[in-house]
Amino acid sequence: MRLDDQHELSNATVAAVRVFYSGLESAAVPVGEADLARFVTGLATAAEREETTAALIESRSLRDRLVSMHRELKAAQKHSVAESRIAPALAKCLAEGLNGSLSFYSRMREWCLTNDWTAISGGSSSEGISARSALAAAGRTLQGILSSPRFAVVRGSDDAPSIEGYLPPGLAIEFEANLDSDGMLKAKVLFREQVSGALQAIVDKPVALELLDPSGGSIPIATGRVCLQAWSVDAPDFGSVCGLSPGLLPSSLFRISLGNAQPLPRGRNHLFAEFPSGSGPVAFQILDEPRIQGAELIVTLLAQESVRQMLAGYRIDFLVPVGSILLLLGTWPMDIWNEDAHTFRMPVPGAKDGSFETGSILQVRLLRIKDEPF
Amino acid sequence: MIGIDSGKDRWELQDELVAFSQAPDKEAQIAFDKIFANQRRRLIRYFMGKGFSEDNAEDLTQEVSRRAWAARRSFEPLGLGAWWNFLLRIARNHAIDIVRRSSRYRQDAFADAEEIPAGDIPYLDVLLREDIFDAADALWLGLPRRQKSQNRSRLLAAQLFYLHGLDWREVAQVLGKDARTASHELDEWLSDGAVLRHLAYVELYWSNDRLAGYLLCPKEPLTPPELDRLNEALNGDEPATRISDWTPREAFVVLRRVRNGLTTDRILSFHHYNFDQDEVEGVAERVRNQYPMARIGKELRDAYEAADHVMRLIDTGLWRRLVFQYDFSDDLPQKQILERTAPPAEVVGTKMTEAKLTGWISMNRLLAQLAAFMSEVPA
Repeated sequence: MRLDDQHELSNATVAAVRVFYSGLESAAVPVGEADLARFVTGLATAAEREETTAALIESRSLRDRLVSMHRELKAAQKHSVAESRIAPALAKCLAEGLNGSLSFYSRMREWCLTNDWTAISGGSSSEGISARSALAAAGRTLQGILSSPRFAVVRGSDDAPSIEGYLPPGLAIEFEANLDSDGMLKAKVLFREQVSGALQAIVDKPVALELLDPSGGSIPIATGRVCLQAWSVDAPDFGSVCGLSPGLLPSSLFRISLGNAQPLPRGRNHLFAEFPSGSGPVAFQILDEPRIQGAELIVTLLAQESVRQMLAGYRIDFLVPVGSILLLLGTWPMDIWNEDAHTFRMPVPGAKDGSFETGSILQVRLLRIKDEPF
Repeated sequence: MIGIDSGKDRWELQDELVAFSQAPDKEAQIAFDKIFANQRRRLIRYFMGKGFSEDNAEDLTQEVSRRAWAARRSFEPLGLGAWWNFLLRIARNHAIDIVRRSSRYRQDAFADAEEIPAGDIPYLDVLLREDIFDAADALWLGLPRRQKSQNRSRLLAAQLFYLHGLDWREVAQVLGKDARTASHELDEWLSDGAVLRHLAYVELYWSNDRLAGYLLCPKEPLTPPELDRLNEALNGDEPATRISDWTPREAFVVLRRVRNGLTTDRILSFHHYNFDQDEVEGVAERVRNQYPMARIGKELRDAYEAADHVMRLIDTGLWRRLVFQYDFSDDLPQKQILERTAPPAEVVGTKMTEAKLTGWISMNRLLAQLAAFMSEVPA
């Protein structure tokens, strides 16, 4: 029933409503430099973002500080972290974020396996944020592949998913992965019996769908158990997290594991170096796994002389995604790359020793030195 | 939780109210413990607002609990409004008894206490049901209801864009959005009438505490606890030191006028400082000249003009929302509401007049309008 908006309310009623509401606004949580640093670097969890946003909309001076941090960060992205002159809170946050990101990458697969897609696509924990970051990095490599026909078959010659684990005789797998206009990945695995009863051999066995990262390793998207002839996977926001456009995705980007499949064997993994101009990426083969040793990130890349000659006059930048920031770890002129294989060493103070299944931890860009001097 | 947040809660509350008034003692006690617990803090604040100490307020609230239980069979379970009215009536009657028996309390604390007319109870019920400020944002600014988080993000994006001069790419970066995909979304936010009104409202609204803190110390505005301490110092025997550009006497007037919304006559009644009318009016004039709202109005006008959205600033909903907040939340006299709204209104190209304000807030019409909206559009 609608009340009359011309009704004359008594002052006693207004007073009663006033008492009911007075003083009930939740006190704003104090927000300091460290909170702003986490917010502006994209490292804040959802709850932290809520609190910081509430404080920011109330305070112009806090927003001024946020904007100046953002500008410091932008400037810092032209220099390596070690050389950047940024606020101590920001530097500390970036160092922690970098180490958190690096340590997450070394156990990303295990984390993704034990968390469902929601924790990856919308999770508010710092690991959920790192997982999105990892997927976005893999997505960038995939974009590179999809835009470059030369590399479309980096992982296989036919458009079929990799099947790992035990596939019983008389059972075939059909697969389709489609990104809808909302960015939802709709994948369908069909177990087609060519011999009656073949499906029984894997009923109730684990099944997993993984995204193959062309820079190495794979990222689990969904796990389940085989129970019927079809297994469907819906992953909301997959497209936006990976930066992929709607439509059918090449099946060769995926891996289906049946039973307790062995980890992915190492293949020829590539890093795709981007040009800011947007022209086609250059693929460098990764030799060995990227690793951290003695507080240095070490990566060895392979490029033929013709490629290196083509890139004379360019500089090569190595960046790592930390939250929403791309942090520059090191930059070199291409001239120093005088043999096919070259090892790059980048300081990552405080990072623990370890190796990475994927090169997607790094983003590589090529800049013309005369346009972007050091 | 401010009010009753969902239909489910509402029905649960109704069941508990019925149990409280009609069920056997054991069941009634369980229901009462639950529903009284939700209002306990409010009653303590009610008593403290009438001049009782916190300890006394807690004791009085305990007594209200005892009396409410004793009177449960007379309670008609007709919703949250009826329940709150029932508690307030007991609280008021009890407090009046105490005040009458003791010279320690202001005898006029309950002078204006009156019963809530039966015809108002449905309005009270609706207004307590959920967050009325959220509903006010929906009614007058056009924001979606119960979307606080989303509304805040959009507001922050608009603040960064219109007031801090960031371009949309920078806004996307600061908000942690992918600039490749955020263009369309941000474009929508930054041209949305509700977001633009929300931004103007948040910038133009200065609560009593915020405005007093700013006027007393513009470079580093005083916080509410700092204002409390200053107030204590100004009321005490030890004279407070100078506050920024204000002498202690002037600071006292600023606090009373801006923070408490008192008229000149009421301020003159504070004998402690022996003010005369010219002195109080002089400070009031100085205060008005330092209000920041006109400057902010100009800034908003310039920013919106550049983006061709300046018409959003003359939407009547924006000004009704401001007036509602000053009237209901800050309890300002009409003259002071006009002082805070007319200068920025003029800057952006609209007019706030005594007549317009009277039309909006006499007979508590804005609140009735809000109740009507809340009754028609359930959250």
